[in-house]
Amino acid sequence: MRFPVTLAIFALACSHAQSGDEDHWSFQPLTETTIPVLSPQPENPIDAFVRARLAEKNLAPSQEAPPESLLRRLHLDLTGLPPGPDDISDFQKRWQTDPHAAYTGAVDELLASPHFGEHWGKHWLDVARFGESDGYLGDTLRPWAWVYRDWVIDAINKDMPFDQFSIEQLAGDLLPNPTQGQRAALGFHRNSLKNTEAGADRELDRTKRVVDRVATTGTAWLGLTLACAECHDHKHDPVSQREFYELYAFFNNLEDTDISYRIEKEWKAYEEKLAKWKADLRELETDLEKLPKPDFHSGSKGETRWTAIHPDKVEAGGTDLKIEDDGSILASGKVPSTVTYFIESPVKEERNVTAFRLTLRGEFGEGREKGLPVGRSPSGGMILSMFFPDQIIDGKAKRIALAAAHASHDDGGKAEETILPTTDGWKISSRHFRDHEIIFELKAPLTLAAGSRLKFSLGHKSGSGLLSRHVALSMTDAPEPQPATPLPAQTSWEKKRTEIEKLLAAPPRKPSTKTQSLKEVSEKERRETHIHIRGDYTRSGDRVQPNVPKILPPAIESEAPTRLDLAQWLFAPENPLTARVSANRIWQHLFGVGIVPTSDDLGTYGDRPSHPALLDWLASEYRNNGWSRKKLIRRIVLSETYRQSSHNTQPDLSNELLWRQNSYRVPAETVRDIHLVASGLFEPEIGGPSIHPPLPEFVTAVGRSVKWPESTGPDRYRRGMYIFLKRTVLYPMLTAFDAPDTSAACSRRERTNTPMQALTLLNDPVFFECSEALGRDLYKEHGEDLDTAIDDLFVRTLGRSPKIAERDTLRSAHDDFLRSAKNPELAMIAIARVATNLDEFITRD
Amino acid sequence: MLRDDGLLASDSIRAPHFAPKAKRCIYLFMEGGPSQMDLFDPKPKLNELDGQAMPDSLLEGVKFAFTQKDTARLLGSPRTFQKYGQCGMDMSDLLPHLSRHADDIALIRSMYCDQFNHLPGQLLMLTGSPFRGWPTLGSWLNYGLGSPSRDLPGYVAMTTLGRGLPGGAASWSSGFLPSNYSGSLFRNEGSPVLNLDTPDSINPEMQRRTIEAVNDLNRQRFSETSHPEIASRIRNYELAYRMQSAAPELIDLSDEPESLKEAYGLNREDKTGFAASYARNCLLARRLIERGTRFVSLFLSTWDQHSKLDSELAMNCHISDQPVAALLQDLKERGLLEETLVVWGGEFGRTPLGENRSGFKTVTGRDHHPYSFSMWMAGGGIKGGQVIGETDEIGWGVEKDPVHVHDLHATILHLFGFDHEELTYHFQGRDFRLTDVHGKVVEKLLV
Repeated sequence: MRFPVTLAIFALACSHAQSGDEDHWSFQPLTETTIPVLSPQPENPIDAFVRARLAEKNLAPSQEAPPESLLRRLHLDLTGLPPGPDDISDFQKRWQTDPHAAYTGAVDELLASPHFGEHWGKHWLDVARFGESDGYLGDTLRPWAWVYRDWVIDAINKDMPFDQFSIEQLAGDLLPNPTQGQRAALGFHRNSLKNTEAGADRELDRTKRVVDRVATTGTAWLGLTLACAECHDHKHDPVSQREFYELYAFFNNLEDTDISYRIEKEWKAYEEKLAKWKADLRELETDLEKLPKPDFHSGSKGETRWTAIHPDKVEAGGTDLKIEDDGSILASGKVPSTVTYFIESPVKEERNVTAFRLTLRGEFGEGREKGLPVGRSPSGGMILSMFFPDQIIDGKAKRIALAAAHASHDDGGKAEETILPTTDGWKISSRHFRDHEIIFELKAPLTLAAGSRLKFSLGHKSGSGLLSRHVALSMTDAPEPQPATPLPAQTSWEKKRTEIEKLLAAPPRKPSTKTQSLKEVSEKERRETHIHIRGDYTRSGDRVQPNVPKILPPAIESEAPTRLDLAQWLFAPENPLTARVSANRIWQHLFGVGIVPTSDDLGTYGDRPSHPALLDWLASEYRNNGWSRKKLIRRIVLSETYRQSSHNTQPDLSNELLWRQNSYRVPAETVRDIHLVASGLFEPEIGGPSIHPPLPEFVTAVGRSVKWPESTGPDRYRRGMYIFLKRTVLYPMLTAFDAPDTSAACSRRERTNTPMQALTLLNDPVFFECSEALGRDLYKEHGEDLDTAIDDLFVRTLGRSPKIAERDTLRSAHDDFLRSAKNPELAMIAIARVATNLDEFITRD
Repeated sequence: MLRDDGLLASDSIRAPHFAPKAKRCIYLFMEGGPSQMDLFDPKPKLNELDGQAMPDSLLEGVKFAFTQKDTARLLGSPRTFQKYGQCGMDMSDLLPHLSRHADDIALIRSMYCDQFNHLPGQLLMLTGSPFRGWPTLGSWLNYGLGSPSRDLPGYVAMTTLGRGLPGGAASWSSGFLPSNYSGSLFRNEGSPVLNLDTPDSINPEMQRRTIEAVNDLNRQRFSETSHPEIASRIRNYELAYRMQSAAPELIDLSDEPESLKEAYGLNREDKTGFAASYARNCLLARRLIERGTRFVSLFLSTWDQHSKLDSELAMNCHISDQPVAALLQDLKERGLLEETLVVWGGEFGRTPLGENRSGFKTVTGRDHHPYSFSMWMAGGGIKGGQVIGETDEIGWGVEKDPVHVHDLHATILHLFGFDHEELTYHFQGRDFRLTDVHGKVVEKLLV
């Protein structure tokens, strides 16, 4: 057995002993920041802070990046999608008349784009360790996890204030009359891993989940590695073990609850379908009424006379059989997968028999009533695998040998096998409402003695409840009984009725979407919280009450504080950490690195801020603007600091002080998205269930019995963030580009650069498909006009025009491709593939 | 041809601080924590005390993953030990193959660490820190020495996965070192690396020309922006291209004699397929270092015997004993062992106590034990045929010559010609090293 990754980290002894540092910078109140005075004074305070620090080192800021770079940077930072050719030409036009207005306009449009919520939602989902399966052996799927993901996207698109956004996720259930959205928000802490493996210690797993919730809350809002205090007082941050369990107490009485979640779009679609279904049904019924109804119970046509067999005893293990007045037998009740009907009948007087007949009865429904098909499977089918008659004389059964079987209709063509002990047999596949019959000829005519009995065994062995529903038996003494007559063609009444049946069988399904939420356990199930001595839940120490760490003001007044109090405390004006942590992360996503680079740890082991005054100014600004993410982002991206060129003109000089913008590879999902957009294959739909792009089998085979239902159609071309996040089968392309493994909160991703990434960009079938689509487009549009094609290719992939040397390089490559491939379209695909493999293509400059 | 120019020079071979004994390393990582007293460290006294409680003095302040201290009892070992080699090294009956190499290996019975859970323990063993984000040993060595291989990565990881690796790719990550020092994960069959095959419609000449054009354009961009990541990207495209032919050749074993494959145990069948897979990985490890790969780590993640210790240990030894011994033999015969360091070990050991986790009906296994465990090394400047250190009579703690993970790391770096205090990387305001602020070279291990 194995601890989840996160928990194992937290359970360890933090080996570097240091005393908790209460004077640590991040615990101090936000400073009243004075904007540095400079000459000339920058308009944006951000620039004043940054330039003041640069001036101390005699450094100058870089010049502004060229407009195309700015536009691509903005698009990638705000929506995670690159600008299209039209965006670029519009922007260039506007820039020529008024650069400032062009830039501000682009910022506002992008902040209003619904793709903004996707991209910034993804940043938050990393912190929320969002995944769509339990994460352990078995890795059970969480089919409704996407509802929370969509809640995040929507909340961010609406610019829900960050305090409300947070409070709903931590304690939405405790708000007065919580809306379904407020309860869906609790999906945040449903993202903990869960061990459902047989033999796992459930209570241990539960306590580890509580620890994860404390730890994630600490990382997400406070930037503290609280879980170090699970086993002992925190070695370097001033959080005692007692305080850890006081936080633990807030989360110790939660239980999972999946609640119905109404999505208007789904209900509208359902109601439209339902109305159409009803109208279709009415129309068919009206048509049916106009048609004459034939008689379907007339039995075999022909001269053979059949005598009904009236049973007096019927029996079947697992289902109910009942003898009707006319001697037929009606099966009902449970539908086991295999069952044999035993039917016995007395022979009252001696008589000869040459054949038996088994009739399957069906009933057409009247009007809207459902019909009764001949079989009992969900689709109305049946398979008779065996038909054995016996004669019982003086209590001893003697098998009556059969020579042949003839059916009126057979969907499997193996009716003759009903007389053999095989599992195949007479098959009526589905929804037959007419009577069917099968005639069994005896090997030799037989005289039945008076006082003996007949016993029939009707075997059904095919599984799926393929049982006969209503049967009748008869026999004849005709020397050459006529075989069963094939059923006549369907009448138009029947066809209509079949259509009605079909429609009745498939009414539109009501939306059943749920969302994963959490709630407090009932009063009588409430647990007390004790310190776990050395983190061992079986060793209870002192009892503790919910409370917040003393190092961070303000103290909570309430005697019995709740999660709601905790959530509100995070946003109390006296609490300096939440604002610093959240402002720092916004900065990080706009510069590639935070003012405190360790955006997950602002404790004593984290980095120091490069610009402490700026961080405090941003934190105050965030709080004072009503926690509007969009307003703070707007403020930052309008700064000259943000708009600097990223060119590394002084390679030996660290950029800690921001004398230039940073340049860095885009996140994994964006690597996929920019390929899709550049190729024109991109499907922009937002939200809904996740997708399963094609994967080689050896990848899915890593987990146990992994189902990966491959997506088809436009779904295949949706954004990387919608790829199903199965924790044991992470999508390899995303992993290759450092998508987190979702087991713990991740506020900053690694950015590796590996040969595997090169192989992925070159050869991954999805990326090659994108190059093909792009190359074909270019060829279709520009044909032999290579220069124009190269211009277009550069705009579509890099958002700029080629330089002369770059054009020459691509031209020369194109010549070689053409010589080698002897196919102008393929040569164009090949240069498209060159462009999508450039470092610049996957870099946000 | 692809161009080598100034950009690639930074990846050429670099000189260590002093003359190295080892130039390559094969690290056999036994994930989960092999039981030392059943394999390497015989404890007659423990067998004698089987079923008795532990002295309280030993239990004080001790943390287990699962064991309930109050009712825990000592668990003797059913294994039989014999002395092997000229040096007379004790080894268990579960290691019939390795025991023939007793004179080649230096067995350390006095390893210890301070992490009792898998992931932190593994991170400590692999990176010198129990936290995520630090470079693994293989990354440090490639950073310090560069890679002599032009066609294959300097650092390759292969796995025989039982329950999977807790750290996943963190087990071969370059942490805060530049990402081109990361290990590359190889599969041992089919296409060894995902996306190794060029799309069908692109012929080999076009693929070559594509990479040439990509790197030409990347160079132009580099000269304009000077971003070091572009230089890494160029190197990685060169390497990716060469890997496309070198990797399939690497895993094609048709030129290896059948007798050798048999010696490694490639033909052995078992229900899980682990035995053959591990044998294949061992043989591939030799092929990798022959082709210049600096560091190969093989993970076998089946060693976590909380229960069914006897049968599962036998299973693990069946999987690994024969291939590991064959690898030593093969390296020796080819004259490679002298400069190839082979390391064998897990992240910690197992308790002398039986594990009585709540819910366990019977005690059949051992819990995690960081206070003492065994590892061994061979080749690459290691003085074979000796045992370092001793544990107490029940195998709880180290009595003599304790070797912390940091000491092990310091020694390994020493073998590669590095002063572990001098091999540093400046990151976020300070110089980091593999051994953090610890580590002492274990002189006894050296030739």
